[in-house]
Order: sequence, then structure tokens, then C-alpha cells
Amino acid sequence: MNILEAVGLKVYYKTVKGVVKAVDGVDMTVEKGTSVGLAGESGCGKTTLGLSFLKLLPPNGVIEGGSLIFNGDDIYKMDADMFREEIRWKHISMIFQGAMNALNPVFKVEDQIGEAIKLHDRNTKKKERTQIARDLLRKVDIDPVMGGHYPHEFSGGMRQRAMIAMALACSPQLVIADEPTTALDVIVQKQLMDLLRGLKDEMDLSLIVISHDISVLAELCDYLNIMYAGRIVEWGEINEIFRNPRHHYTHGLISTFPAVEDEERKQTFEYIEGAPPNLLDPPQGCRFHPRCPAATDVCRRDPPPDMTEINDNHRVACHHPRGDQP
Amino acid sequence: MSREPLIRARNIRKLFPVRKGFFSSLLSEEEQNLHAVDNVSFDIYPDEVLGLVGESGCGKTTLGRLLIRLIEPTSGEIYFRGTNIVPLTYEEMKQFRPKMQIIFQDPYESLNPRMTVLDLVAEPLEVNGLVESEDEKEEKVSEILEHVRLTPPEDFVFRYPHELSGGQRQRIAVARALIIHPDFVVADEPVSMLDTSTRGEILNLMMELKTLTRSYLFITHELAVARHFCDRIAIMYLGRIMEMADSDEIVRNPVHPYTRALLEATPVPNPASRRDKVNIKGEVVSPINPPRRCRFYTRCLEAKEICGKLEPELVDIGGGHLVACHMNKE
Repeated sequence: MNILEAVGLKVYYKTVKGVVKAVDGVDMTVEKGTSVGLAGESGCGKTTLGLSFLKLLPPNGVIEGGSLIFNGDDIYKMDADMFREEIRWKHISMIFQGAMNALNPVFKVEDQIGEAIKLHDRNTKKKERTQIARDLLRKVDIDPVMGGHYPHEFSGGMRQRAMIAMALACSPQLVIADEPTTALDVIVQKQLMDLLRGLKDEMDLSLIVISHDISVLAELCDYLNIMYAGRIVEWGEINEIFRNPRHHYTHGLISTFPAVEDEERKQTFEYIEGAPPNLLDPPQGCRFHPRCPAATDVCRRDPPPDMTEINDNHRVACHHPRGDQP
Repeated sequence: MSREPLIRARNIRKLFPVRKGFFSSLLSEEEQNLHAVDNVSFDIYPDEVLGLVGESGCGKTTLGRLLIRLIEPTSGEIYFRGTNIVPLTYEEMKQFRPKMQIIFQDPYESLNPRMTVLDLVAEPLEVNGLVESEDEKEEKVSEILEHVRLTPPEDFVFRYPHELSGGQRQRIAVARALIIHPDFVVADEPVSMLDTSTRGEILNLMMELKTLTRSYLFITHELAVARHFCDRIAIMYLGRIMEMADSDEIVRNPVHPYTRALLEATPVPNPASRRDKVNIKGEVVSPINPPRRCRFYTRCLEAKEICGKLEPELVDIGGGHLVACHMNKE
């Protein structure tokens, strides 16, 4: 069963220079109990897409079209108050990007976690909330006593754990993690990924993980969406995508990542030429064509076909998908 | 290696005094120092790329800056082509300055937003008095811009940093460092602010332009990048070098428990090889007045009694593979 299903989602930013089509017709599904990755370079609309699932867009961001089905209901049709009370944080919560700097320095950590609970259940007593907050801290492997301390007494990794605890405060069904490990050291990053994986099983969560770092997604996700310039260009089961990427962009993303385990030292590095397009004025035809090694006249003229099925677990939107790899 | 090293660092230390409050200074408690770099010795040979790998706060940036004397060491000697540069005066140092350059981490912060590309790239030439005329300056700038593939140079010389992408800015930073053909370049996390997809371009460029310099010290927190970019790798933890060897050797036969933990934690872009939990406990401890014992003691799963009493020395276990761990003594 799908817990979340976005259909034809469009999110535009109105700016003085024009309309930025940050998310331009995205379909995405999250099956219950799975972990779905969203990969792409900076500026391709990943974070905007994540925020739109919670209707937390900045003031100039508008949901222009599409529907968002959560457990069978179109939650974009709900009014704002209802959405805030019933959906946001209670059923869908988020670990924000740069979250370790998002804690308020003048409140104790347990009070900040408690605040999230209070907003959704006004009848709880402060004592109960502190107790819940401490239980949550224990769940994310922080000594519960630390709840009575202030954020500056926490290390970066601990603050990130506290933010995860906060996202779990109202026992949500779906958690969106936006760059959950970026800016953390590798060892802390690894520990956090282990933690997220453990919590997902323990609390029966569904996860959306947003990252530019494809190795983090390889570690955490069951399915992967590749996003480029506001659109999903490839979707698939994680092993399938890594073994047999069909879109040239996906192939580029995977091959540019240096692997430490390689037997031989490579002295040249792969890269994708150029930079992602300005979404004020995206290129005609396929948006990836200026950077694509396989681009032809068709790609320059016509937008790529809709996502085409390769098999049950793999879809791609490309005029000339890469062939089968042995 | 029998060659004469380009840089020879001997027992360098850098302590940053920790400022105390007014009242505790009256109570005259013991002086507190942050041991950023603590008794580090190593050599960098001509035409070599040495990688310095460690987590944030381990002192790798401080060490990089010490080597080119952007900051002063508390003690120790740094030999550049046989001359100890630590005691030199400001004036005496001037003859060495053009021979060492640095590429900073963040191309959004390190380039002056009010200077054009021409001024930015020409600055090292002018500061070191290496050009006589405007024409010569422009010619040299064009030449290096060609090298870093900002072509045609005429399109770029009058632009400002905000008109360039992150990758282009970092290419300006590379051009700035290499225009005076230094012998030694400290590259402090030159690609960590860039998207993985565009990093390769900068790394390839630096590799190619090694002909314009002699040696790099490549500072990074990513072992995977260092493994492919560097000839030798030094692993740093809390101000000390824990292990140092050829990059192939360190990846194939890591000896120090910390190196092994780093390798295990380094993400692999392959879902088929998901790894188990990493073999390390706790978090990085404070570098302020560290006790005389192995720096890794509190996090090591293999720690023995001696590790808590004595700080291990960096010793050669064969073939230039250096390790600072008591567990290799037997």
C-alpha cells in the first residue's frame, strides 16, 4: 500500500525576475514501510519538493497544481488549520537540512522536544511531556539526563540526534529527512545512518531521504528517485538503479563518486560537464541535453517522453536511455 | 626514499591558549591550552601529493597553515629545501613566500567580491613583484586562465565572482595559487563545497597542473578522494598523526584502529555492499590539555592498559608505513 502519492506536483516560486519552476510535474510514491531516496545536485528542487509535502514553503512558493494523497486522502484539499493540526508533525514530520543549527540556544533540549508535543496535544502536563522527551532521547542514543541541558552542550552529532527525536515526537508515520548527514564527519554520519535504519524498523516508519550524496542513499534507501531541474528523470529499486542506470544523468551521478574500496588508484576523476540550468529559463527539449553525452537533435527539440517502464522496478524518462549492462 | 625532502616538519606543535573568565583567572587555575597540532613530524618530497585526512577539529587545517607560516608554531622546526623557516623574520621570509601558496576551502568566501577575475588572479604576481608591465600581467593571467579552462579568457577577466558558478570560482582559486609557479601548494579541502558531480573537474585540473608546481599537501575529510588523489596519506586524530603510508597501502592494510574505523565508515556508492556497525565508541574528546596517553584511548575497542598510560610513538612497521599504536609492538 502506498502511504504517500504525489501526482503531477508543481511548485513555483514567484520572484521579481519571473517564475522559478522548482518542481515541475513530479509524480512520486512512497510505499508503506519503505525508505525512498531523492537524489540530485544542488538547485534541482529536491528540498522544495520535500517542503511541499508538509506545505512549509516560503511565502513566495506556491503549489500550482497536482495532488498529494496521504493514506487515501488528498491532503492538499484540506484547509490550512486542519492540515496543521492533523497532518503536519502528527503524521508527516521532517528532519530539516542543517538541523543541528536549528535548535533554539536558550531553551533546554527536552523543552524544545516537548513543545512539538504540546502543539498537537494541549492536554498533556509538562511532566508527561518531559518524560516523553526523555524517552525519545533514549531512543536516539542520547543519555536522557542530557535533555535538561542546552544545545551548546551538545556535539554536532548529538544535536542532529535531538532533531531526529523532535521529528519523532508525535509518532509520525512518515518522516522526511533532508540531507540528514551532510556536514557531519564520516564516523558520525555512519552512526546516524545506522540509527535511522534502526528507528525505521522499530517504529514502523516510512522514510523519504533527500540528499545530493548518492552513497548515503545507497546505504539507507529501498527505492531511489533521481531529480534533475525540477523533474524526476529516473525511478527504481536501489540495487537495480545502481547496477543498471538508464538515464545518463543517473549514470553520471553514480560514476562521479569516488570509491575508497577500489583496488587500483585512479588518477583521473569522472565529472558531469557544466552546471544545472537556471530554472527561470530551463533549456528547451530535454533539460539535461546541454550536459548529456548522448544528446541528439530530438533531445534538443522535444521534451523527453514520460517515465517509461523498463521493468516493474524501474522507470526512466529519456529519449535515448542507456542500454542493458551485462 | 633517498631524495631530499621539499618540506621537512620536525616536532611541530601549536597550542592555542584558552581564554579564561576574569574570576577563574584570579583563582589562578592551571593554564589551559588547546592542543591543535601536537608533536607532528613528517616529510613531503618533490613531486609528491601528501593527503592529510581527519575529522573536523583534528588540527589538519592548522597544520596546513603552519607549514606555510600563515600562523606561527608554538615550537618545532619547518625546513623548506633545507632552510628552517620558523625563525626567519618577516623580511627574510619574503623570498620564500612566492614558493608556497594555498587554495582555500570555500570559493564563496575566499574571493573578494569587489575584485574582477583579472585583479584576483593577478594579485599574487603583484604582491610578489613578479611582473613589470600591465601587458605582461594580462598575458600571464590569460595563460593561466587557459590552463584552468576558463576560456576564452577575455570572457572572464572582467567578471566578478558572483557571476561565476562554484566550480568556476574554485578554478579561479586554483589559478591564483598556481600563477606564480610555487614549489608547494596547500590545498585545504578544495572540493568539499562543490557538488560531487563537478568535483572531478577541479581534481583533474589540479592533477594536470601539478606540472606548474612541485608538491601538494591535500587536506580533506574524505578518505575516498584522498585515496585516488594522493601518493601518500597521513591520518590525523586530535592533533597527532596516527598512521601514514602510501595510499594503496593504507587502504589495503590499515593498521591503526582509527584508520580502520574511518575506512569502515566511509560511504560506498553501492547498495549491494551495505556495511555493519562501525567499530568505534563515543565521540571525539576535547583537545584541551589532553592527558598523556593514546589520543584514541577513549574510543578504541582494542585498548589495553598500556594505552591509558603511555602515548605511542609513530614508528615504521616496514616499507615506510608508519603507525602510532601500542598494539603493533609485539
